[in-house]
Amino acid sequence: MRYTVFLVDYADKRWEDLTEAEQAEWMAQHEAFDAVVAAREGCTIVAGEALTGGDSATVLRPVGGDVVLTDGPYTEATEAIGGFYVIEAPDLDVLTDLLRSLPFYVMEIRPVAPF
Amino acid sequence: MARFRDVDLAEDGLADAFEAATRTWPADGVPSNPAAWLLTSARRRVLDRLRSADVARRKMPLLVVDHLRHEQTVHTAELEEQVIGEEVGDDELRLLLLACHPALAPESQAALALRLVLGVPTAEIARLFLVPEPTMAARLTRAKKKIATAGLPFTLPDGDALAARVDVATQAIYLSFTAGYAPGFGDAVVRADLAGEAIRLARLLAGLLQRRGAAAPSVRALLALMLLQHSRRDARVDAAGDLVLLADQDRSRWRTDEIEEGVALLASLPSGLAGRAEELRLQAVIAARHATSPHPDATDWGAIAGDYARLERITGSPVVRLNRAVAVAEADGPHAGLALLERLDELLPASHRLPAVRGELLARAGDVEAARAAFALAIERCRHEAELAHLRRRLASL
Repeated sequence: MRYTVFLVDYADKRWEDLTEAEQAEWMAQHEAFDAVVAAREGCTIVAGEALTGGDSATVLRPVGGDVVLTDGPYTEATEAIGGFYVIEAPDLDVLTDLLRSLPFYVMEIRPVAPF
Repeated sequence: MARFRDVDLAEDGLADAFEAATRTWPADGVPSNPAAWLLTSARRRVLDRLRSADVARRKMPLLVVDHLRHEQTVHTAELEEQVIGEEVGDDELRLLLLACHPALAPESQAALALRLVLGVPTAEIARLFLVPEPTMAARLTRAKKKIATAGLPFTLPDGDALAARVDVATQAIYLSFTAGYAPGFGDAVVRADLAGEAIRLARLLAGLLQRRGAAAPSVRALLALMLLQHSRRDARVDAAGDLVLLADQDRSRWRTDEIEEGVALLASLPSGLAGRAEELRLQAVIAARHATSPHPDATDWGAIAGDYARLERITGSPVVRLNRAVAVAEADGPHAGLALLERLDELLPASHRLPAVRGELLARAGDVEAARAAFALAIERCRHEAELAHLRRRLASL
């Protein structure tokens, strides 16, 4: 099954605010996560990205048959999303077990809609 | 995993998944007792169709009688496993523990367990949880969809994951038991079966935890409590179907072997329990004091009042205080009991039992006018036929 996992930043733990040592540990955690997924049967990281902050967001909105661009983010809630993974895993329990290697975030797990 | 993609989302989709899963057992997985397995499976389906099919209704008594015959000859957990088969038990546990998965909404977990594992009709579950039937139906549908869409697996969880679900599972089992234990609606035959099923599930769960080397004090405490309460089933209802009060029950009809088992289980529990395990243990202790009293007058009400006081300290529950007031009244007289009832009206505004207890104690204290008023209020609020009949009789006797 395919899942998208949204990584939600803690308000008090932003990348910019971390020391170099803390940032290195942060990256190491992500690398450890890569390794854990690779080692687990039937699991793959399909995609994953760190996102730039809410200040760099742009919102596109349909208005009266046209599209209007405004400076983002869309909502305070979406501003907090700092990254995402798209992961293949056999079931939710395997996925949550893998995600234990990423302790920094609150995460929202959304199954990808089957077609 | 592929099984879950194919899960039908109709009403009994997951019950079918249970059967589909058992159909895909490894090559040597034919149950050691196929007849018992078929009996269990068929019985569950028939329970579901009881409402709609007359044919099923005609066959139902045969299946239930067979199953009850098995139940009556089985006393210990080991024998239970022989009759039902460990494979079936494990699958039922998988279903129970799946229903209790933390990814499901808390208000859905116990309800789903009742629906999937025990086949309790949705309308009855709605009544148990005090919500309208469409609300409960929607809740169950949403939970079943979540299981399929989010890929919650049909497996027995390990270690910490298992421990986390045991509390929810214990709650679901107890709810099933009280649904079977407290009469008031439904077919009497189905009622007794449900309580027995809850006990069987608790045994299975305790067995699993033991095999995994995990302590299971809350499950064992619950099992003790249920055994002790269930032991009275033949004496609780008279020939007319009316409730018989504890004090009036024919104690020779209490099942002494089940009482012994409950008492032994209770004694095997470690000391220093806390939280839900201690709550259940105290309830079982109280049940044991009643169950081991040869005669109502021999009941150690003082000790029971003390147990309720400890239970009230842990739970802060007004219902516990109400029960405590009854015990205190038995031990120290009606005025002592009445004093404990004083602040309860705001906490239990819709309760019929509070005015009923108050009425009883006022009658004992000699205040007949006030007792009549209290019973009248209890009757106004009461929705259970059997209790209503008892309250009316009591009022008339004043």
